[in-house]
Amino acid sequence: MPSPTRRWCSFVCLLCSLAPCGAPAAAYLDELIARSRELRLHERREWHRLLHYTTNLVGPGVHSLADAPRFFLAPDGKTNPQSELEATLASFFSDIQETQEAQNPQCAFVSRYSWLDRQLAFDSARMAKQPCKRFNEWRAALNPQGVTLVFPTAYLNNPPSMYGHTLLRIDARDQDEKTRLLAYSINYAANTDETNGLAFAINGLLGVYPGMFSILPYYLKVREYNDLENRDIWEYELNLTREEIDRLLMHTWELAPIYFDYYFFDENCSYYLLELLEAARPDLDLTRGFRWWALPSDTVREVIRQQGLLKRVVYRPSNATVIRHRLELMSPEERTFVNEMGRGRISTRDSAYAALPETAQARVLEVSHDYLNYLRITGRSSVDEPATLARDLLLERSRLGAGPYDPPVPVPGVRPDQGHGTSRIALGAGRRDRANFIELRARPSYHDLMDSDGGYARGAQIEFFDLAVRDYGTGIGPRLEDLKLVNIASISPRNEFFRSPSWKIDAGWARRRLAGGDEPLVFGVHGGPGLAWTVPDSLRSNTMIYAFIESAAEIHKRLEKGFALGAGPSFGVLTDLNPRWRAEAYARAQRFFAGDTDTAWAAGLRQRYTLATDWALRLDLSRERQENQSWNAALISLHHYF
Amino acid sequence: MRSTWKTAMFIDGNKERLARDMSIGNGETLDSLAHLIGVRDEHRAAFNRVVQENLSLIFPSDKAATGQIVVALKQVLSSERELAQYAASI
Repeated sequence: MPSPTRRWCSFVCLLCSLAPCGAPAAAYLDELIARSRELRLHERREWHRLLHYTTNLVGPGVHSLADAPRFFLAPDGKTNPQSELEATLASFFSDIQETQEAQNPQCAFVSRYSWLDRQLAFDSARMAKQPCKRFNEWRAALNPQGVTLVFPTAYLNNPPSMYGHTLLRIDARDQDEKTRLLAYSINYAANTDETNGLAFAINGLLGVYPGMFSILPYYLKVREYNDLENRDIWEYELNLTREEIDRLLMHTWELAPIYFDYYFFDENCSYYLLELLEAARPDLDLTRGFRWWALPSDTVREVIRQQGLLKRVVYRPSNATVIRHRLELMSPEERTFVNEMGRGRISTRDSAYAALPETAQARVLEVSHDYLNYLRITGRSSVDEPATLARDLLLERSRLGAGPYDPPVPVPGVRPDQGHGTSRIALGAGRRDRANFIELRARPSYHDLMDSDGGYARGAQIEFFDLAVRDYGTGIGPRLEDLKLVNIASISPRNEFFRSPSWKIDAGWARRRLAGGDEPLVFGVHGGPGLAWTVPDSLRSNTMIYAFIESAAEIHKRLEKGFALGAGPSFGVLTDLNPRWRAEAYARAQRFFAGDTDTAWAAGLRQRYTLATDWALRLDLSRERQENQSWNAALISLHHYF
Repeated sequence: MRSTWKTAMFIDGNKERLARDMSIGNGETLDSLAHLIGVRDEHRAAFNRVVQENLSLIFPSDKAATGQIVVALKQVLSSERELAQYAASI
């Protein structure tokens, strides 16, 4: 092994070959490197943040999460903070002139330059400071004064988005409440054109896509989320100082051309935004709790938990939310006009409509136009020329002058960061088929139909790895009762305005009764389409009824022929008896027609009583029949969310 | 100094919302456009009223191109005494 001094000399010579070094430059570089080693800069948290180093899971050392080779100046930069730092210092001596295609390393790595300058006090006489025109123009155009963390909520019917999303918004100096749309957003997303939700989810889980940061006008994102996807947006305005905002922008500039392998669960949109915020304020430690997975709402919680970081929260309802709200303020007659006009069935010359007072006409026209747009964007409009009809409605509205100016949509009482915790454990006791048991259940994420809805999308169920262990006290010991790998349901009540289908799917292991009375753990996949309605009022109600056709496929060697295929209906009524108390009565039947044939059914009543945001009581009663055997079950359990 | 390409880009990216806000004579997107053009507070009410009254000129068809909208908006503002000063900023 070469002596340290010899390694040092050959290293400097190598670095000098990367950048034009005269003797004075080489000498200054030596000095800088020596001082950086003295100060042990390569061990500093700020340096590790800038390079996105994370400790290795196995073995000592670190590796950078960045995957683009151009991010590293040293051949071993991905795993060696010291050689990356020294290669970075050497690169600053380069005399590459800035063009539209290329930048000098001082500019391409402007946040590294800024930090190293502060630690080592660069002498511009010995190392020329580059003007970095492109970066400075970009920063001046942004005119930054504040940073906002933006959270578009879940998008029903699209599982990969059911966790929500996060992006940052750079607020400009001359921006006020009415001109937020003019800000710029920093968005990290998988770089792919994939539109198939399932393909995206699988590839995203495996880290197939490169993820990149993009900087776009905020109005484009608002249009995308509010109008095209009908997602409500929550804007969390943050308190960052000028230096912090500057650091964030410098680091964004460095990262813009860099890709990180996008992983749907852990290294996703929300995780990298936390890393950006950590680059801005190095003593923040936001990413530590997100080693294994980063749910957007949890990352929002983590950010606003920091003392003094949250300034204010603004709610921006989606097109669909605004339509629903305004429909509720209308009389049944006005609502009918909206439905007819938005679908192009009556025109503005309709005599009954013309008899309405002008403020009512204005309201009808506005909501009809928004409803027409909703139908058009969701592919449900049967109007031949929707754009022409939209323009007609707007022209008619413009002739009426001043309007009704309905009050804005009320801000929901529970924000996405204030809902129940995303993980849940439960301890319960019960009786099943004349045997008592105690049960321990754990679910890492996320939300089911019986959980309290505050901060979540109503009717959107998404559960991963829900595991229950029971001990029946018969001396056999505890057994794995069920493990659901995934359990997703999207229940969208229909009325004359909104008609989305509902669907559900689940996969995992559950106990299944065999003819002989045993109950092995059987792997099954179940799912199917359905319909749901709210009753009695079609717009807003505490009671929902649903009907599904579900199919089932189960496999286990002890099933007759090793498998069972079945299909059958299921029904249910879900109601909120008061804001804390939800009950669901359900019944389902399944006819297994192939493999292990059987007619099975189940019926029951579930109840949840909310004690506090993160505590709830459940009571489940049921009767089931499988393989010509029937039994009753009852369970009471205490749920804790965290 | 106003950036006219920024205004054109904003109009291009917000056609539906702008038409809607103009028809009502109010709204966040319309306020943002007014801000980009540099309309001062004392002229905002006139701006909102004028675009509402001339909606059919500003959006001459349901497939109006951004260029057409920009030109029409310039003309509409030019023909109003207190708003003519802003026509050049579009």
